[in-house]
Amino acid sequence: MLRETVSVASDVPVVEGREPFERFYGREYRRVLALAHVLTGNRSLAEELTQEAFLEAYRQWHRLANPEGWVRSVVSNHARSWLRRRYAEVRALTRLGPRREAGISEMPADTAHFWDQVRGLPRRQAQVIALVYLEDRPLREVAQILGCTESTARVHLARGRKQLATVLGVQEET
Amino acid sequence: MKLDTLLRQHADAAHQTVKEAQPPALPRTTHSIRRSWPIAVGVASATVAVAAVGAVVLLLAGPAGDQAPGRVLQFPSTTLTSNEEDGGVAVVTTMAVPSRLEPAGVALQDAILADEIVTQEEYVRGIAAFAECLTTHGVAGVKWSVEKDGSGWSMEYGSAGEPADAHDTTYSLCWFSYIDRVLTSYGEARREG
Repeated sequence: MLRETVSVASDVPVVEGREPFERFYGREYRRVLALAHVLTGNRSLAEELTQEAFLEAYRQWHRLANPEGWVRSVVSNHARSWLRRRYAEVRALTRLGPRREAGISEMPADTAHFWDQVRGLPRRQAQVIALVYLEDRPLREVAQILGCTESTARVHLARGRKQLATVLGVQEET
Repeated sequence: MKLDTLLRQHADAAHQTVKEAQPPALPRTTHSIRRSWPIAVGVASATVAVAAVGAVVLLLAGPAGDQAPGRVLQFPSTTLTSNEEDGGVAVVTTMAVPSRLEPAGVALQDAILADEIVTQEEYVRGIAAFAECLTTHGVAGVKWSVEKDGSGWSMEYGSAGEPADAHDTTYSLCWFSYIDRVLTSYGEARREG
């Protein structure tokens, strides 16, 4: 079958006083991809989710006050929702660029098991743990990303750590 | 083993999994259209828009068959590249996407996907919106119908092919892109049962 593709290109948005989207994208992509990876446990889904988050950030670039937090919020909040069940279907409509291989290597078995246990925690607890330890972010920023208060994030972290220590059979105290 | 040790260790290991990952190309392409039949060169852009309508019929009916090798649709500021893999031709234009078109398409898309299911009613609504867009932007006489039978849905389009300029044609092509995405999604949904 003969196929023809017609593409309409648009310029990368540039907002005065802010770094170009391209630089933001290049700097943040791998870190957000890692976050998506541990929160989904699926390499393909992690890449799709990350691309969608950045694509949406690109679309809304001129409106985003905190792009770094925004893309992480999208990834965190969508990792366990309908995206998991229906992402392959939805992707067909929302995907605007060419597909490519994930480029994510497989986790070592013990690391995969560890993050499986994290994902087994209540959703907010898992998100807080991933953002604090994977992203090395202070609770103030984690709370902003998740749209809760810092004290709430602290409670989620404490409870998540306690439960995780229990299921892993390790000491919780630092 | 202490919990913090494990957290740090496996956070580092998780970062290692994306160490070699390369960010995909920036989303400079905002619309993509796949056709299953060639477009004749030198025809008026209105005819191209009509051909785009007809493509939906062909898309659902299957490949166009043994038609002559395709030529390409030309816009102002257009670059062409051949795809040796599938024999197709990529056409990229610097013409801006009409600002009001993409939000309209996204809004409709969001409505269609609000419940994660592409229903027949929503699908028909998308087709109707596309036909209306064509009519509004220079392609008169567009008609459409969607029916559901035992083997799936079918539709047909027709157009009087009145003149439309390149800008109008872009509108039409953008909408075709949207419909194409709906078709793709619907096809996947049906295959998944």
